[in-house]
Amino acid sequence: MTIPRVLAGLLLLVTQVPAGLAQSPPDAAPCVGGKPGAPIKIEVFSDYQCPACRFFYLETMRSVLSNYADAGKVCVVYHEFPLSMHPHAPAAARYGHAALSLGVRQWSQVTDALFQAQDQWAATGQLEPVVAAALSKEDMDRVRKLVQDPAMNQAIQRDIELGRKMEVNSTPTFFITAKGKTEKVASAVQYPILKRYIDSLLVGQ
Amino acid sequence: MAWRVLEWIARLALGALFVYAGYVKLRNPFLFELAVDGYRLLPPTGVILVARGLPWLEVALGLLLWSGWKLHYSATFTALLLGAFLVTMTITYARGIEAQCGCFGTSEPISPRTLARDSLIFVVAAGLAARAWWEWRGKATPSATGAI
Repeated sequence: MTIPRVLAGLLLLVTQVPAGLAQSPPDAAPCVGGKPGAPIKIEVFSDYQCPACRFFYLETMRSVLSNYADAGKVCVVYHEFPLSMHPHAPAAARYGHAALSLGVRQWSQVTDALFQAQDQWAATGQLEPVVAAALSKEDMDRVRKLVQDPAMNQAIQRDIELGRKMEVNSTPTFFITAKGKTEKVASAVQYPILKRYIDSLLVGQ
Repeated sequence: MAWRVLEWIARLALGALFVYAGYVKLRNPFLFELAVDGYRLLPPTGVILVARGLPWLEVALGLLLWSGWKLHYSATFTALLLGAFLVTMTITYARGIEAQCGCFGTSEPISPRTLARDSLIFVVAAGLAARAWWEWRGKATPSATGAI
C-alpha cells in the first residue's frame, strides 16, 4: 500500500514545476540602448556592487548594447535592484539613476565607471570620485544635485518593488521579451550564449 | 512479486521522466543553453556541447529504460547521470549561485526543493540499478553452475 503513496509523492514533486514563461515587466523605464519598438526587449535587474552584475554588464550586456541595441534589434532596460548585503549599492544606484536622468550617454559613462572600479569603491565607499572621473564637470554638478533629490530614492524603490513583484530574488536577473513571450533568466550568462538565444529570437523577424 | 511490480513501475516512471525532461529541453535548445551557462562551470563551447547533447542522451536513456533492454546498464548509467546532476546542483547552490535548475525547463531556480526532488529520483534510479544487477547476476549464476 505504501508503493502507490511513494509514487504519488514522486509524481507530485515532478509535476509541480513552475511554468517556463514569466510575466512581462510593465513598460515604464526607458531603454538604455535601442528603441522601445525593437523586436526584443531585455530588462535587467542589477546591483552595482554585485560581482556577477559587473561580469554580466562588462562582458555580456555591453556587447549586446553595441551589437544589437545600436542596430535597433534589442531594447535594453536596466532596473536598480540594490541588495541589502551590499552597503554601498543604494548610493551607487542613486548615481546610476541620476545619470540616466541626464541621458543614456551619461548612464553608460557612469555604469561603465562604477562597474570597472567596483573593487575600489566597494572597499572604501568613495563613489563620487569614480563618477566625477566619468562625467563632464557640468554633468557632474547636475548629478550631485540629483542624488540629493528624494525623488531619486522613490524611483529606485519603484524599481525594487517591481523586481519583487517579478519575483527577482538575486542579481542579475533579466527578462527577455520577444514574440509575445517573456523568459526569466536569474544568472549572469556569457555573451556568446546570450547572442545565440537573441539570434534564434530574431529569426523570421 | 511486489519487488517486480515496484521495479516495473520505477522503470516506466523514470523512463517517462527522462523522455519528458529531454523533450522539454529539445523544444527550446537555446533557452536550455542559458540555463546550462547559468551554472558558471563551462566555457561557451562546453555549454553548447552539454546543452545540445544532454537532451538526446536523456531521451535515449528514457527509451532504454522503457524497453527494459540491458536494464542493469541503462539503470546504472541513469543513476550515475542523476548523481552527477545532483553534485553539480549542490555545488552551484553551495557557491551561492542562483542558477536555474534546467531540469524540466528553465524558470526553476536551484533550491532545497529541487535538490530534494532530484535526490529522490536518484534514490529510485540507484535502487532500480541495484535490483537490475541483482537480477542479472541471479540469471547468470545458474547457467554458469550448469556448465560445470
